[in-house]
Amino acid sequence: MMSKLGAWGRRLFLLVWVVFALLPAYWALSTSFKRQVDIYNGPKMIPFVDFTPTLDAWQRLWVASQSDFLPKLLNSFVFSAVSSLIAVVLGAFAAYGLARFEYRYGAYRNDDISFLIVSQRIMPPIVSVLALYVVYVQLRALDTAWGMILAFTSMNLPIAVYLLRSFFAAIPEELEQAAALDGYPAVLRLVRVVFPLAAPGLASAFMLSFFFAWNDFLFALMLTFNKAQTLPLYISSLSAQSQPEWALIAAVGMIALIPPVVVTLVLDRYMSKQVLVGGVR
Amino acid sequence: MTAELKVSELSVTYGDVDAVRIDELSLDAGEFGVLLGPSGAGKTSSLKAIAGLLPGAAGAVHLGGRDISRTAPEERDIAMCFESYALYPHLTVRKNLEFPLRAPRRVRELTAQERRRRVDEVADVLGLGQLLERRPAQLSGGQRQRVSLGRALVRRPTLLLLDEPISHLDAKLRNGMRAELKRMQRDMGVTTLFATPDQGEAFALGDRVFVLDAGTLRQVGEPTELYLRPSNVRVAELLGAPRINLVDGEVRGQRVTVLGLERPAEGLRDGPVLVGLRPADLTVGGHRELEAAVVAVQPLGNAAIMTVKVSGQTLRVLTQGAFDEWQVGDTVGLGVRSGSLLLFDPVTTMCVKAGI
Repeated sequence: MMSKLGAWGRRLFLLVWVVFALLPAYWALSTSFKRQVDIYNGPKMIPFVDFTPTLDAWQRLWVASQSDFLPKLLNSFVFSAVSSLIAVVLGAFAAYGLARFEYRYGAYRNDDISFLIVSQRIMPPIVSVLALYVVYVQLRALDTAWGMILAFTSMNLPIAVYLLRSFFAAIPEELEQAAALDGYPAVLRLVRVVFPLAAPGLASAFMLSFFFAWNDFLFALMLTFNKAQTLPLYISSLSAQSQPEWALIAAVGMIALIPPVVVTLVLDRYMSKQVLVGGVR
Repeated sequence: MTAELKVSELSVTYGDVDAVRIDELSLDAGEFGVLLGPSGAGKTSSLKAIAGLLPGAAGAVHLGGRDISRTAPEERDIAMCFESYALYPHLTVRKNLEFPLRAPRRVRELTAQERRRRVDEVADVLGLGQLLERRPAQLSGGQRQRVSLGRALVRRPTLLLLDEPISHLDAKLRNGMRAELKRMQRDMGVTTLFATPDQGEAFALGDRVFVLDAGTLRQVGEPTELYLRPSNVRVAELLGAPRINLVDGEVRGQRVTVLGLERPAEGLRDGPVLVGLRPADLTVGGHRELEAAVVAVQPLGNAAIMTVKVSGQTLRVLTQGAFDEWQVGDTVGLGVRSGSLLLFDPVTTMCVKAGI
């Protein structure tokens, strides 16, 4: 009896939680089908009852897609994906080194080097972005794809290194020694044993990097103006008018949700794996 | 395939601590060597140094007459079974066993079919046939240990290094595996070095036993020889269970006196001496040489370890047969088998006389 009650209680709690978590997304979705007047005479939540849905915003988005919207979506996706990939690959090498070898540069040991790397993320980016702007002007990197990828990579590399170091450190060194005696040279030991075992770490580092880059506003604001603009800037440009285009903003926002969700769904199965269990006593 | 091993001037240092310092260690082709030592003696470090896995190791390793001291571990053709098993947790048992056969240097030697057959063969011998599609996390400790052993055997290496490979099996399986291991080693003719803290395994398996203590080799020889003529106290302590009794004695006029017992001791100078009495060489009842008070009786089933006091000294006695007739507090007569005493110099701890 108690357990049945407990089960229902759990379901009720989960239901409340689902509503709580999904309500903003639903609100944005429904807003994208509203006319301006329904938005301002708010809150209207139930289509056909509260308000009459219209495809107006989506049609305008489709019209705008060739010129404005699609290039920005593509920019966002390419910059985020490429910079995350670079950050994870470079970060993996750095993290593996920090986990396996002992370094000594003057007073700096492994932990100090790690902290030095992470400290690049402690300072708020707004402090450095002006200086970065000046550097980018000199480098002719403003409003270029490679400039944005570079900026995102440097933003994400510290986190990737920090996260991956602990993952590599958790892999018993004897597994690598076993692979060595089984006849595998160093690079293959990494590819066949270390990286598969670090998969949850690699996946989470990629996801975090991707989200940070996808959600970035500041770098894009300062370092791009046209060709290399990203989705968040496009969205904010829609609201920077005398009358914000809420329905359009909501429609773009819905599309902006899709890539992170897809990335999460794809990588989630690597993250939840208990890959290290059973290898050593 | 089979080759002799010659290790010389091997040393392993961690920071400024000397973990291992071995002057010489040699095995004939196909020989079964046992590296016997307590935990912390440097067994694992020695094996890993021979395999080329320790950057802090120095010394010369020759295998089959070839100097492999500077050869990378993956090129040495040495297989090792790690005490921690070191199985690849992301691979199934079959993939684990196949892993060495798929290494770049061997992958062309065998077809996929032959690889399969080899794995099946080893799995069969080790009783892993039902487990091939499982992952290490789904195995018990003993099963994991057998997979680890299988992975070392499947590729037929030139040298086999085994680091306590059967220590975590249950007693029944362990005895079976001992015999199986010895048979496989003979059949394959592979030169083997087996590290263990268990003197029983050393007796059962070893053609030659290397007694390692505090990083150095104390004595090398056949197990029986080490048991009967240990070169020093540590070797006497490490071989033989229960542990040898050590009591103070005195040499005077070519005779040794211990616990009131007197034996001839020709050629020894007068002075104090450390006398080793093996628990198995003491008999209760029968011929009474010493009077002993029973302090504790620990039954083993077909025998018992009895703790007794003789002239204020505590002795362990391994009794056979009807041990349940003695109780704590009883006074019993103790016999000492003739030719069983070991005499050690109390300062150098070296053996000065054996078999009196």
